[in-house]
Amino acid sequence: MSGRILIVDDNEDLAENVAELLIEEGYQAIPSISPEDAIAKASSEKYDCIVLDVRMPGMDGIDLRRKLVRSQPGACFVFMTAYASDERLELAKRSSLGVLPKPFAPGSLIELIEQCRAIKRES
Amino acid sequence: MTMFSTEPSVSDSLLEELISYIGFTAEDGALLARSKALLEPSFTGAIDAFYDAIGANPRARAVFEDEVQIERQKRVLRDWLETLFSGVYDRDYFDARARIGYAHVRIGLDPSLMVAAMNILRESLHAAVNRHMDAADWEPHEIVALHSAINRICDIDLAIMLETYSEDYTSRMRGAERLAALGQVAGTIGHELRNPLAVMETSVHLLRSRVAGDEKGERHLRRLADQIALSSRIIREILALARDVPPETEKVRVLGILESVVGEMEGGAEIRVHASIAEDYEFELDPGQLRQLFTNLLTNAIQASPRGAAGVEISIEEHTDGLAIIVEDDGPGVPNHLRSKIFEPLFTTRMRGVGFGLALCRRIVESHGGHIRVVDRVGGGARFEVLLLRRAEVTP
Repeated sequence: MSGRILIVDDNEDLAENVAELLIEEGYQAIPSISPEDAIAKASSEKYDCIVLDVRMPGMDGIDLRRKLVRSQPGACFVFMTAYASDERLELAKRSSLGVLPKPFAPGSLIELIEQCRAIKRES
Repeated sequence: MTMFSTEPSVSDSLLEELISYIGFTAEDGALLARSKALLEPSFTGAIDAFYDAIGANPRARAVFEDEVQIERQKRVLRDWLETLFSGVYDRDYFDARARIGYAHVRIGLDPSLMVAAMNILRESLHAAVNRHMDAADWEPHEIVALHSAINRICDIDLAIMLETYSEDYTSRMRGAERLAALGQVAGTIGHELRNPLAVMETSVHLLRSRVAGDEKGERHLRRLADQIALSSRIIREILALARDVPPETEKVRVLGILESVVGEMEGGAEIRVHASIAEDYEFELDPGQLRQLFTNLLTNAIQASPRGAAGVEISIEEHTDGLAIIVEDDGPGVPNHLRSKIFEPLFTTRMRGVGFGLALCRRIVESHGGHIRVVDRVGGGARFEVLLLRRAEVTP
């Protein structure tokens, strides 16, 4: 696997773990632990995929995505969430939205990242 | 094993109060016992009259599922009449009466119907006294006293049944309220725990390649992974139970959902599926809740069965009033006294699990206007029977 991936989660351990396991899979992964830090990182670098937590202090993942879309035209977005209900996740899955419920098996994260990148490339 | 008290029983103080207030005496008891041989031939007629009256009342009729159940209830009613005239009115007698009130909550009988039902029986008994006692050379004053004794014992019986009914009903309501409050707190905690679990899960994965070949290290990582998966499942059940939403129904292809649930389940291929409905058969219900219902019933059955999924069967049948789902396992079965309890939240007989799975099943089924029960499987094991009513037949 290859590609540059930014991981945004206010839980530092999780951001680092996710980055670490993506690096083991061959990606270039950069952890970020706040929306502000993510915006700063995104202003200087381009990413293929941005993996972001939905609920974060200050700014949630949905708003952060809105802010990043313009500076990252080539990136697809994958949300990680501890708060979605099973019904909502089912809905997200059916509409091919990149939403991953926490906790997750690393394999399913990578699968979702690749799926979203493929959709992005086609569009 | 259980957090709830089990057998219903009448408090001594209530019993004393009732007997003295209603004025039931030892003489009353003796009269009832003396009249038994003369009145017994009229029991069959009284029982038939009672069930004729039930048949004429749609609300009362709805409580009974079929003729088999009515036959069973007729035997219960005969026992009740036999003991009413037994002359022995002790602790066991009154506890048995309490169980009748308790059973009525379980089948959802309205207490006003209990009062009406008692009156039907009372009238049959008075008529029988009028028919037989004269011929049997009872003195007029004895006959009057017997009428009074019948009234008194029926009053006591009814009071005990109603009291047990209201106690049980109140405790169920309290349980539901407690669950709602608990649900809110549990919901928040459940969500919050998913973040640390996500850290643990990814850490376990990262460690796996580092301990490769180290048998002990691998064993412990496997244990950690299993426990993380278990914690996740518990959280999912708590959240589902905490989120009490009414079903959003649509036409759903039932077998499609069953196939997908079975396919995602560990060992799912070994589950025997019997469906007497067409492949494209549709039924109106909430698809997410049906998925949850299948998952919980099958998980439960797999865990109960010593052979795992290989010991589990699921049948789907169309009935005149709805859709029947039957899940059977070859485990130890569910003893009689636990059969209603296993559907209560926080009740569990397993070492693993917190007892939300079947509670959730019951809520899903009831919110679809159906019912769920557990009986013995022929040949050993448990048989969970679910009936989901067709939408048109669900009354709000």
